[in-house]
Amino acid sequence: MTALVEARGVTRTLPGAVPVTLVRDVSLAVGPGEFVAITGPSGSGKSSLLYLLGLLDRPTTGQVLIEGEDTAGLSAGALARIRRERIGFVFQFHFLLPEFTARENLLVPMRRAGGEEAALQARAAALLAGFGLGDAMDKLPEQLSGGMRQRVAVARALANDPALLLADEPTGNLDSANAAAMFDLFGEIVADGRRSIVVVTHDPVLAGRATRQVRLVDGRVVSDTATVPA
Amino acid sequence: MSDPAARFVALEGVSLRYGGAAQGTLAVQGLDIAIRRGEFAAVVGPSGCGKSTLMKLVTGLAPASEGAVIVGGHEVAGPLKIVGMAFQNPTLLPWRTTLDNVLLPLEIVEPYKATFRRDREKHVARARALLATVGLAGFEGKYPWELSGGMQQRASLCRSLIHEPALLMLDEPFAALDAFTREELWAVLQALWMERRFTCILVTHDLREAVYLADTVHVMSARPGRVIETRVIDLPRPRDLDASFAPDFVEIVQGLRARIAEARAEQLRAAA
Ligand SMILES: Nc1ncnc2c1ncn2[C@@H]1O[C@H](COP(=O)(O)OP(=O)(O)O)[C@@H](O)[C@H]1O
Ligand SMILES: Nc1ncnc2c1ncn2[C@@H]1O[C@H](COP(=O)(O)OP(=O)(O)O)[C@@H](O)[C@H]1O
Ligand SMILES: [Mg+2]
Ligand SMILES: [Mg+2]
Repeated sequence: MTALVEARGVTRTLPGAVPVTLVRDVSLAVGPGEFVAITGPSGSGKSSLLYLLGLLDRPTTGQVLIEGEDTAGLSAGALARIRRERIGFVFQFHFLLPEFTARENLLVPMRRAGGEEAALQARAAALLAGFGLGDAMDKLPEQLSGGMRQRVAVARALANDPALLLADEPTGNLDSANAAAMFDLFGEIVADGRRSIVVVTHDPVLAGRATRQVRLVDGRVVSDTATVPA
Repeated sequence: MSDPAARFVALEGVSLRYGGAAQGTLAVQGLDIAIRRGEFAAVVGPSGCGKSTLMKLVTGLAPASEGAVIVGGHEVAGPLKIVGMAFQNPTLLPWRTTLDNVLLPLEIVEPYKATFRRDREKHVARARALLATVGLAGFEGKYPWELSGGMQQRASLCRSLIHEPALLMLDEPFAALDAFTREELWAVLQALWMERRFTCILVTHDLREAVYLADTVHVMSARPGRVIETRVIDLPRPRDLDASFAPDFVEIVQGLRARIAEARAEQLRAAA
């Protein structure tokens, strides 16, 4: 089984008078159906690792593979293409465009990928409805609650049906009920076994809802364990 | 009244109450304001007085409970399409390069949307030129995390202007930046405005920022907010930092500060 994303001996060091190493010799393979939580103290390199897995940054040494393909030699354009087609992102801030409705926000990446407008509109509506946002689709982000906004952000990340969803503290602005609901949603998203999710969180209770937990300290993986079902 | 350009944005006796009629919060009441086409207006006032509410009313994000909101000669009935917006919050998509972020509205807004793919080269050239005017030439391929906060806000301004909106709404856009970066961005925004002359409404709690940038400064009362003073700033342009320390400039700032202090004192007296 090919991993959807794999880091092999990845180290990332920022150059400078005093070089800073963000990620040290990390190896991690995430297969279809896996829901991985990356945990660790603040500053341990969680976000840095996620940026590397998402091809938003490049390793200093080591490799990042997407579906078995080494990305090291690829041009910026080729990386952007992989990202658009195969990776969805969610962050702590929703990054929805304030001028546009929930549906229009989903249509942005969809239109970029191409397709007939009516079909895209229908798909955007179906995706939002599937996330319990049927009544919210023609509302602006300002008009939605924080939890709803974050669900729209997840729907947008899935707009082009990527195999891999990467999330950096996606529940950082949510109360605990909404945060738990978001992790339940992630569980549903990987349930069909086609996709995988890697989510950074510093909340151990939420991490316990993932199927696997990877803990970073000082840029290194110190543990990598399957979650024991409660 | 007869000249629509003189009332490009107009609020007439507007009130807005959040949440139920009886127990809800009356955010603004008896709010009157008129902004000319091409004018740079600033709105200042004590925290919680309804400045962001005013922005929501103008852009159609929130309907008025009473009164009329008019933009471009039409009463606002729902979210407007002709506006660009920028806020204090980061809104550049982390997974897109600076250039792709700036191009974003063109992928969504007519008339650009329909021909975006065909005319991409032309749009890219325009976006690059716009980035160059705010000092971001050479950063087109960088991701937001590779830019400083000030650079991100410059890119956000470009994104809010690329589709040439008739109205630009800025709600505390520079509040999260350090003082030096903030002052640099005043000059950047002024240059963009002087070149393009869009109508601009800037909400800020920084009185120097308001006086540096605006043609008129509207002072709001404490909640429920209404405009209690409109001050015309007829200082010559382009204004610069040196000018912001000149006596005439400082005097205007002091006058505004005194007016807001009065509004806060009235609020405290009313609460006592
Ligand atoms: N651009 C940067 N320049 C210098 N140091 C950085 C930069 N980005 C991150 N760091 C540092 O690298 C370390 C790892 O950061 P990060 O990946 O954001 O950690 P986490 O997400 O676990 O809190 C931290 O010590 C952080 O301060
Ligand atoms: N969505 C909302 N629901 C209820 N009350 C709100 C809402 N938005 C703002 N308010 C209240 O309305 C008043 C004005 O808010 P706002 O316009 O954000 O003020 P400002 O931007 O001047 O600080 C405040 O008392 C605020 O708490
Ligand atoms: Mg982080
Ligand atoms: Mg506000």
